[in-house]
Amino acid sequence: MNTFLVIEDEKLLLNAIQKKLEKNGIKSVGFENGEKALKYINESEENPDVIWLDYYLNGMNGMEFMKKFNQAKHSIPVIVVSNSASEEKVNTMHQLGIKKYFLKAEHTLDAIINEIKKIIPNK
Amino acid sequence: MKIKNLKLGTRMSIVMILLAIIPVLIISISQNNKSEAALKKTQIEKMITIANNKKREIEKTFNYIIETANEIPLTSNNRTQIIEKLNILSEYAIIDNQKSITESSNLSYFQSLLESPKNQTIIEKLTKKNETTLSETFTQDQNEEITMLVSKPVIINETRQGTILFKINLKYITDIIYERSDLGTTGEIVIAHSEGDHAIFTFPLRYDHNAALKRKIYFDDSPVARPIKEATQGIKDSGIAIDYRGEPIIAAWEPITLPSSKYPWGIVAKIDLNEGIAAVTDLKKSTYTLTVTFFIIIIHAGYYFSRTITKPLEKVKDYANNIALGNYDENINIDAHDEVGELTSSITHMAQTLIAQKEAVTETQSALKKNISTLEERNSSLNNVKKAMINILEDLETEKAKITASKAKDEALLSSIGDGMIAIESDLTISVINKAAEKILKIKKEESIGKKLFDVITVTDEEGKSVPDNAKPALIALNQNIKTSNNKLLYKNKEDYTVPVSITAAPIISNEKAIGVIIIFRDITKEKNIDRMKTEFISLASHQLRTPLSAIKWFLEMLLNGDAGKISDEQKEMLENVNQSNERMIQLVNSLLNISRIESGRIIIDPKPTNLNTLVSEILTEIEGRAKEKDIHIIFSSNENIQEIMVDPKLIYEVYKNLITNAIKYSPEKSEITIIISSKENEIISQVSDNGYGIPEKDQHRIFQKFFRAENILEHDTDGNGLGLYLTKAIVESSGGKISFESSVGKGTTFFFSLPKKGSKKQEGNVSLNS
Repeated sequence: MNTFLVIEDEKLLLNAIQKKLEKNGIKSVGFENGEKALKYINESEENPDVIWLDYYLNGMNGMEFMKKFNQAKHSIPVIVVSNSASEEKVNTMHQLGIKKYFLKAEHTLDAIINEIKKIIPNK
Repeated sequence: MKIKNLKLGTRMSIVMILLAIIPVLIISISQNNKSEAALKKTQIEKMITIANNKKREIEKTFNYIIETANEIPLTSNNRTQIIEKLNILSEYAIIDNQKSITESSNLSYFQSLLESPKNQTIIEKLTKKNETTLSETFTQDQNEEITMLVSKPVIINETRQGTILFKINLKYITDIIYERSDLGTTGEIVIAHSEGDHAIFTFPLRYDHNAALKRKIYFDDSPVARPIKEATQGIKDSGIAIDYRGEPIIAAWEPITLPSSKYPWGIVAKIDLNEGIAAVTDLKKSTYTLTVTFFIIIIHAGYYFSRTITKPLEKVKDYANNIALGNYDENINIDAHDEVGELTSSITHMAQTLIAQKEAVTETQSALKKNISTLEERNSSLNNVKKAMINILEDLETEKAKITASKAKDEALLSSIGDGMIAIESDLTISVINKAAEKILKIKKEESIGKKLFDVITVTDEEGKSVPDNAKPALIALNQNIKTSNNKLLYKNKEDYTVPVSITAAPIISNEKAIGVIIIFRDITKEKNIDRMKTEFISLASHQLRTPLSAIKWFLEMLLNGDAGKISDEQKEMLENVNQSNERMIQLVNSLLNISRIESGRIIIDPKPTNLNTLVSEILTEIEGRAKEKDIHIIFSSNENIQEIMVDPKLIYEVYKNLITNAIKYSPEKSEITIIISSKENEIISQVSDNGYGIPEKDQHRIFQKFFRAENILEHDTDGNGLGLYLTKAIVESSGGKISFESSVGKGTTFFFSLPKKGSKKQEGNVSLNS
């Protein structure tokens, strides 16, 4: 079974995402800020299959998260699901190594989940 | 041995020898001979001189001797004088007439001399002479010394008392003889005297020390010792002769007359011929050496110079041989500018000409061969072409027939379709026009084909105003390469006859460029009329309906308030039912009115800086109650920093309200609704998502139509009037945005719409929604 690590600061939305993942048969672990998520990633023995990253978070934003994440040289694919997508922001995040950038309003949760499943290897 | 067959080198050498050496030889030989003769002559003269000089000296000396003897006094008183004078006369002896020595300087000597038997004759002769006399030369027995005496008679008182004998110091003579300073290394003075039939040498010879008074030369005819023979016989001569050794000499000889001597002495001055002509001999030697050297040099030179000719000639010979053998590759390098060089050039030139000619011939041959094969090839390919052409012609005939048939079909089709069709080219010239077009536009085909489109018809809007080019569908299709439709325009023909049309224009694309346009149009006068009538009706009816509906609403209010008296529970229930129904009708009428206003373009669009988050929050507050009723959980996620956009907030409010209320209405209890607003580069995207009943696929294409309600929700909610989405779409699109959805029955529906960040255009109208 796949495991997603979701970082989303709107609690209600995080719940909705995790419920949707469950409905799709995917385990998930959710965090409302980047620091907690990083701590978990660094310390846990099991690595999640993918990281679902919101951009605007409390504390460090998505870009800062990616920089810290890259320093630790993890190889987990990162998908950004954000409320805003300017060309500049999308390019920067891609250069930092994210695999895909979704604009929240443009896709249903189901559609996003399906797209992500395509990217990660099936378990 | 013919000269022609000799090798060049040999010939050269011979020539050079002949030319150089032989003349030289001849000259030098004759010169040598002359020199020899001259030298001989000189030497002979020299000998003559010497002989003469020596002879005179000897004669002088003997004369002196005689003088000296004469001067010596006879008396014994002068013995001392005698002694003093004894130098050339070295000894003396006075003998009486009996030959006894009365006085002598050397008694023993004279005694032995007088006693010797062989001297008797000599002495006798001397004593008989009455004057001073020289004796013959003779040798003493003991020591073989050559002796010569001079005698002087002692006459006192005219009687001979005796004789004085003086011994001559012959050194005075021999000094003269042996003085050989001018006679080289081989020369000598020979003194001899005759003894009758032979000559005898007087003094020792250079080459025979024992010859004195011993060696005889007989007077014969042989050339040996001719000088002695002649000189002692009184002959004076000179020249080349043979001496007593048998050796050739250069000599001069003459007789010496001695006082009171019977036989003359002979004197020969001689020098070996070799020595005499030694200089010339040397000259001859060096001449011959030089000649030989020269000879050798000339021979070498001859061969060397001949090589300068033979070597190149050999090369030429080899070259010519090679050419003859067919070896054209050899190249000859002669760097000479003489006749050989010229010959070489000529031969080379000739050879090269030959080679070139041969090559030319070969080339011509191969070119000919090529030409022949080319011609053969061409011939066969021409045959092929001919065959192919025949095939093509046959195919063309078939195609032509097909095209004719096809064309006929197309024409039939075109004339049969009911819509009008005009095809134009890129320069707007009408190329095709069908019957329907003619009919709709009331124009004739013949008057239209070949003319420019907008010379035949003009395009106006619904108010009769001319439409700008960028709104003409034909031009949009042509210039923007896109298919475009418009059902709000009218075509007007030359007679000012106008017809409202629904136009679709599609570009004909070739190589990604529009080379023409096909315009299909339909006369929509009827539809327009119907539409207008419908709208007018709706408008009218709605207005007309509103009044009574309002009235009902108020009266119901009053009744429910108890303004007309207390009402029973049963009455209240019934009245509330009526109220609800009334409300629904009011809603319907409002919607109808809104739609008709939008459709008629009379709605005011008044864009203002609007914060969508605020708008949504307001709606959420308003529908909170309804959501709670169904225990529906609403999640609102938005970009906090969303910018304000220029849209009409009242209109956009209606959009959100419609979508959200729909989501609530068509979701089951306890479900979740998600509202997301995200900011993209140039637009704001809003999403309303539910987990509700969904829209069946077969109905999805009609969801935005007026009055349409899908079957599946009719079961759950009979309340809707099917106008909400129509209105929503109209507002979104007139604000410059787009709306879409995804839906799956039983899973849910998600609506997406976008609004441009640059905002919507202001529209002057005279009514707003819901007024």
